[in-house]
Formats: sequence, C-alpha cells, structure tokens
Amino acid sequence: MRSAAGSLEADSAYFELHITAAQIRNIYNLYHALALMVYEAEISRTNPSLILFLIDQSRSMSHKLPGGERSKAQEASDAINRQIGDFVLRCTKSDGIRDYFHLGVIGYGYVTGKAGSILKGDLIHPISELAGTPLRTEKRKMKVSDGSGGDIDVDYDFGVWFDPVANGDTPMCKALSIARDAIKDWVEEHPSSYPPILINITDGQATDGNPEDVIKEILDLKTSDGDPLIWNCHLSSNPSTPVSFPSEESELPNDKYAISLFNVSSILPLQYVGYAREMQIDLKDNARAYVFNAQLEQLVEFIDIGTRGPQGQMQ
Amino acid sequence: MLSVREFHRPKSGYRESEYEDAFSIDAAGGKFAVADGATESSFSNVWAKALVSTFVENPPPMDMNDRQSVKNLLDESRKKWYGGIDWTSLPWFQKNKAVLGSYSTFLGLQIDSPENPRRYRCITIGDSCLFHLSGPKMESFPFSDYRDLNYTPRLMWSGHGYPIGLSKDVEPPGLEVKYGKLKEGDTLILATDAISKWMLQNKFNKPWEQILENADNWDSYIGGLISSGAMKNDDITAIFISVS
Repeated sequence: MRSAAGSLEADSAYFELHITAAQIRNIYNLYHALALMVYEAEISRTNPSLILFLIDQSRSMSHKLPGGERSKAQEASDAINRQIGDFVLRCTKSDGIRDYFHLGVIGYGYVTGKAGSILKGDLIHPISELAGTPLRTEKRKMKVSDGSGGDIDVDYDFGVWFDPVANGDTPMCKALSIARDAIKDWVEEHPSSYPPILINITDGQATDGNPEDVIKEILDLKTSDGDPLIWNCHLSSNPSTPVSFPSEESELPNDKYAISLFNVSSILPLQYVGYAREMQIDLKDNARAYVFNAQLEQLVEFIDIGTRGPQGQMQ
Repeated sequence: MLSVREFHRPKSGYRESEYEDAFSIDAAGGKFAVADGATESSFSNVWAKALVSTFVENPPPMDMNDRQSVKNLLDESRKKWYGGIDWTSLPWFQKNKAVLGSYSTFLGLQIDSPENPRRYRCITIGDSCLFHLSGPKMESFPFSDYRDLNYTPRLMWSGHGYPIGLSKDVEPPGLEVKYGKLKEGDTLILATDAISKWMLQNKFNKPWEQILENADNWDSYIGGLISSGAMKNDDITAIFISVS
C-alpha cells in the first residue's frame, strides 16, 4: 500500500508471495545481464573481438530447410559465408582491411565423431587473412539503392570459405570443447575485449554428451566487458511454427533437448533486444539467444542479429 | 584581412594516412571548407577531399541559388572522386564495397570582399559546425545544443563506384544555409563534429580560447581531452578565421 508520504509499505498481514523458483532464476539472470554485462567495449585493431561459428555437419543436415530451396547444410553454409563476407566488407577501408575481428568456423560431424576447423589453416583467423584466402568467389547479384528510392542489380563477388557437408553424427560437445579452448586463449590475450560471440547452428541432439556442461565452462570465460555470448539456432525439419528468442521454458515444446539448449543460451543484452525489435521481432527484455525450429528466415535473422552488436562497436 | 589557423589530427591511435576528415583553405580568396568522411564507407577520405578542394578551387558565385550551388559542387566533386580511384586494380572485397560509393558531411564558407561589408555564406550538409564569435556573443550553426550532434547526420553521397560510375545522376541531400555579416575583431570557426560537440557542451567556458592557448601543443591537448572521455575519439578538424 502507498503511504501518505508516497513510500511503499508492505503490511505482512496482507502480503503474499507468489513466485516460482524459475521466476527467481529469471529475475537473477536478468539482473545479472543488466547490471554486470555492458557489451560496450570499443572494437579496434588493438582491441579486436572474436566470432566463432559452430556448424552441425551431420547427415540429417542434408534435408531441405523449410522456407528455402536447398538443404539445411547448404543454407547454413551460405548464411555463414555471407556473414564472413559482411565482416570483410565492414572492415574494408580505402587502404586495406583493418583487423577489428578474428573469426573461426568449427564443423562437427563431417566424419562420424570428428570436429574441427573447416577453414584453411589455423582455427582463428584475423579478418584480413580471410579476405585473402577464400576457397573461391562466385558471381552473384546484389540490389543496391539507386539513390532515388529504387534499387538496381549489381554483380558482386560472393566469397566462399567452406563448402556444405552433411555426413556423420553430431559430436557437438567435441566442437564446443574446441571452442572453449580457443575462447580461453583469446580471453587471456584480450582481457578487455568485447566478449567473444559463439553462434552454434544445429538440427539435432549431441551424440557425444550433454552440451550444457561445456557451455557453462565457456560462460565462465569473461572479459572485463562481459560474459561470452552463446547463440544456439536449432534448424527445423518440419514446417511447424518456429520459436524465436523465447524468455521462458514454457514457450518451448516439451522437448528435453530444446530446454537444455535454451538454458545455456545467453540472455540478450539490451542492445541486441533493440536490434531484434528494429527487425519487427516480438520479444521480451529477458529473451534468450535461442531459436527453436528455425526456418530459413529465422536462420538469416538470427545470424544477422547475433553479429550486429560487435559491428556497432567498431571504432 | 583574414588571419587563419588550422588544427587537425586523426583519431588517437591512428596514423595521419588514416585521417578521414578533409579541409581546404584559400585565405586570400575567403573560401574555406571542412568535410568528415564517413568511416563506414570506403574511399570516404578521397570523397571528403574532393568536396573541399572543389568548393575552394571553384566556389559558386555568392548570389547563386543555394541548392544549385550544392548541385554544381556535387557534380564536379563526383568526377574528381571517380577519377581519383584505380577501380580495376582493387581486390574483390574492395570492389564489393566501393561500388556502394562514399559518404561525407560538408561545410563550406565563403566570405565576400571588404567592399561588401564582409558578408558571408555558409552551406552545410551534416553535423560539421560554424561558430561565429563577436564580442561576448557566440552563435553556432546549424546546431546550438550539443545533444543535437548525437544523431546520424545527413551526408553527401558520391554516387556509385565502378562499374555503375557516373552514369546515374545524384541529387543533393537536404542542406542548411546561413548568411551573416562580419566586423573587425570577429572570429569564425569551422569544426567537424567531435570538436563541435565538445565546444557546444562547454560553451560557457569559452573552449575556443582554450584551444588557442594550447595551440603549440594542440595534439597532446586534444589527446588528453579524448583519453579523459571529454571528447569523442574521432578525427578532429578546426579552422579559426580572425577578421582584422
């Protein structure tokens, strides 16, 4: 009740607490995300940021992705290659490429039980190195503004750094362990950098254990600007309704695997909530970086939003 | 007589070759310009230089319609920008970006001859500012409140790069114009956005006087303001013009 002086008083005779453990955990997580995580470090050549993509290359990725023309493996590879090209584009200046970002792509299941870098050479590459070492470029069309409200088609070179594969099982834990070790080294060398971002794209359940344990270890690898951001995108095999950026377990189907990935996906920092809302996505302030049953549209949106934050911090 | 002092520096931690502002000065002819090339686009430094040099070398007549003056500036600067880039030797990733063109703010100042009571015209597109100090008064244009510099500014676009090039006409963006009169002892300052914002934020402490007092160690003075967080880490350009 409100007193005459305007302060709030709780009268124990009338005060009842209706709050569940899950709600308490959500409130704690939200507080944690808002109060301790800033995600405002400037990204520069002397203070670059790390982006890691993980891509499921198991046999089931050969199935067609609803909303697209091609297989899940092809659409996911295309989306990541496009995003690498976008990072190259953003870092390109008149005098060359500035290494604002270092980037790696880890595939899992390309051979049963195997996981590892699917880019040429090392696991982590400065963006300038990637610009010079695509597998090939393909001529594609892009629409550019004509400056007077219309668009025109222009040929451009689409960089391809890796090809789609759909072959084995789903050793996601092995891939996450490789990512954990890379992030650990990165954070030790770049303790004040914009926190590393890990974007995992999969259509199935890990066949080598519970990914929650490794992801929790990754989340402990903080920089002074916050925890690593973990994004999990679960690709659909059927055209049922996707669940984008849920904030409560109750928004998900009764699927142990979905709930497990939801719980280890980061709560979106407020900047990212804003980017999603700019794209007309309806989500709550404590939404998580998780999509269940994603179709092509959600996959593209997901990667776009996941990489917008650091791009906005480029100095 | 016009006395001119010019100050510029790249972002802290960057090289002079990475400076993406531009300025041009013709003190005898009373023509001055500054431009701030947009970091997001490539070759924005080439574009910013093309705009300021075209304006100062080939200024529009003072009585020419403002929009037509900018249209002429745009057309001439585009030719200079396009001709200044070796398009075919660019690697694939630079071509992808360069086709989108370059962007820059622009502020041009023309001061008439002494016979014409020192009338001036200032044309601006974007968030570079003009400060007119006259006795105890300070007038700023186009902004008087530093908070107005928080928004994405209007920009001059070069049009597309290769392979579309100059084949498509480009219309000038919205512009703002100020006409004024000068008297002896007045000072005009042309400044790009970061230093403009700092001057507006501190206008009651006459920050322009602090700049002149620190003219000999300008670079470290501005570096100190940036590292303390008082000024944004950005390319900085300011031209001081005193009338005597």
